[in-house]
Amino acid sequence: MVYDIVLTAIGVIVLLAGLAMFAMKKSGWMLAVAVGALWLLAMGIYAAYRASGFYGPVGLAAGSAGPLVTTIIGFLIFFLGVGAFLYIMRKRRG
Amino acid sequence: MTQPFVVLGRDFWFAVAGILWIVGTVIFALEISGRTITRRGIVKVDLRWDAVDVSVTALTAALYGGALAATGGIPIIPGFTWVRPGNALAPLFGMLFGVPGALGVAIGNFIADALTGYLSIGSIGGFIGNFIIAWVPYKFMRDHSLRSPRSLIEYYIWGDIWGGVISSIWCSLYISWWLDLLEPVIGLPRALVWGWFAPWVIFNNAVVTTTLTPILGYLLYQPIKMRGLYWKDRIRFAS
Repeated sequence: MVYDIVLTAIGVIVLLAGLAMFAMKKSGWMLAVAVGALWLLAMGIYAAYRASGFYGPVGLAAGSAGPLVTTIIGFLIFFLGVGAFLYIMRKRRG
Repeated sequence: MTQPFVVLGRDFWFAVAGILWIVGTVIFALEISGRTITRRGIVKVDLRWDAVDVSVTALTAALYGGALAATGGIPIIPGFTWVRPGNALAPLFGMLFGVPGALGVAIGNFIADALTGYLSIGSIGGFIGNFIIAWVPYKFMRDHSLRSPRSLIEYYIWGDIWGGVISSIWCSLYISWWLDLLEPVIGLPRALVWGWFAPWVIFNNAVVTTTLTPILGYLLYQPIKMRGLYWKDRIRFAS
């Protein structure tokens, strides 16, 4: 449990550092905010999965909906990424 | 594949991996702070981290994380690694997008760890270890097009060659050293780390990066370069 707090704290620190850099008009703030936000997104997924009982003692619990949900979310994120990638490519052509 | 790890033993690999861990961590810190190592020493990099660079990082994180999570239900070592065809994207993103792509790979791996039940303090090792898989071909290959014999030879030397000469081994040893160091906390026995986890990470990476990555690179290099997203067209090194 203490390591969940450590990992969450890392995300919060990076995000706050990004916001502080923004306030001080320092370059690289966008990177820090993005990394912090994505890190905390991962911790949010972790918390939601844990609350849903998707995790087994190690990895995903075989008897739960975890593996199916993960496969669906994985493909969803991947195809959203492909869509966004194609959108950017088309936009930069024009 | 496991033979060299068993024969040479844990102490040998722990010492070798410790050196690689320190070098990898220093490189990660340098690159993120806008510096890089060249033949002239450490130089500043003109990487603006503007909306395009940050978008590339977020996009590569989504693509890599999604691709890894999609097969997350097929474990190799339950709790620590799984079948990962998505690994093919890691060196590709480094070669095409440079440090923003490599950072996206690191974040994508972290998100995939959360989605597949593998998130732990060990994921910090996976974060930088995956950054290294993307960073090595980005940094050491001269021609990233994968459209010439020279480019392919460079790729197979630096990216991966039958079991992973550089980037796959480095990544595997980086993560394994971290797991070994934190064994009392993480709980993966050291014999399993060096006798099973380390060789499997190399094998897992090598299979897809020797086959899928060159094909994807061949297809994507030209369109990405034409739209000005290729890292060499965006980043300048300070003299």
